[in-house]
Amino acid sequence: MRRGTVTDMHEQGDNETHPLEALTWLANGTLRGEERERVERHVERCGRCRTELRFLAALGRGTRAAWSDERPGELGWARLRAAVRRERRQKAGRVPWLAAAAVLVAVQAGLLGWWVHERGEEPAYVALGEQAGPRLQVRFRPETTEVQLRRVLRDAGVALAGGPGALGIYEVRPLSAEPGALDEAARRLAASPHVIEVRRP
Amino acid sequence: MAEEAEARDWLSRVAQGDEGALRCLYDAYSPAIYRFALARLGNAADAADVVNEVMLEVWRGAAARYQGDASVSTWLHGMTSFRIIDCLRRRARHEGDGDPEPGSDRQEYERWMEAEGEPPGEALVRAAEDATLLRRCLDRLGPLLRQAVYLAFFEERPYGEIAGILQCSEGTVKSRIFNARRQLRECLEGLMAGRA
Repeated sequence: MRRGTVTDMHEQGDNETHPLEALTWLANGTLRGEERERVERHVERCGRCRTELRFLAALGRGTRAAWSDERPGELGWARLRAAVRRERRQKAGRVPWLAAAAVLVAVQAGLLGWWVHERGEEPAYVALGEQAGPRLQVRFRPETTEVQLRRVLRDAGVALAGGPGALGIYEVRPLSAEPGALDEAARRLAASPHVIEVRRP
Repeated sequence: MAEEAEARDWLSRVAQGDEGALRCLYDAYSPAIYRFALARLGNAADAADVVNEVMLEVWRGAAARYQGDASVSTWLHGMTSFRIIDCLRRRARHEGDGDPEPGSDRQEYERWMEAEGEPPGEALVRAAEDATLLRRCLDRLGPLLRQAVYLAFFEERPYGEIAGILQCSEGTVKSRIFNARRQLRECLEGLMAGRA
């Protein structure tokens, strides 16, 4: 038996095809407007489609029954809350540190400008990593004054080569070209109470 | 799920860092997006990961970017869809692997209906309502089909909205549903006849 049209099965005389596609959306209640009216009119006179519609409605009920117990569980919220609070703590910890770093950068940049000016040199803005030769990267404590900074550099036998960068890091170069001068400078800088970190770029 | 106005209020409060509003949003929507993820991923742990990622994304700033073009539920499902794909990539199972898109949908379905002979009988309708039987058949569907069935039959969404959530064409949605209907029916008939 061919099942392609309504007229094959029913008394209606038109050649309307079964709205197979639309039945799912009629069954789930989302078909709207003219399309809904057309499909409903068809279903009223088509036993085959009414049966199919009942099957689809049953599938809907069965699907909801089969899956309704599936939930992420209370552990899911506990996990999410832990992640949210962890992020909050990290954020809270970052703010003062960033503020301190910004102040350090601003103060030290000002000091550097003043220092260069005092020495009668034209200010040269050198990006970290641009200058050739042996160098060290130095991060000073935020409370370090300009006088202390100058003294540390002088005692370590280094001159400023660049910086400060965004994180308040200065680049310095040894004044002496002697072998071992860089190591000695690094040792002296690291020994200073005003220096947080010394590293080779 | 929550009333739309209430859900939008929660979102705006989440955007201001209100953890209580996040809890409300989670309670209201996590079961739905969990089931949606589970339907596609077939793995409870992965589905739970996806829920966590989506809700964290909401917390981290997505809530503030919500434009209100779609309902909160549809918006969350859309985000979940992307996270599911991320998860599949992590599992090195690219979309479509082992779950090819159905072919000539309508013609195929019509041919199947013709060959099938009888329309669904009472026994088949009862079997479709049987959660245990149907669950076995749902588990045998390919992930793409199962996901479409979830959105169409469980969440009762229109095909246009499903297409938006899954980022595919409406034709693809209809095609997946056609194929799922056919496979579910065959599976239920097989179970009823003791073949499966």
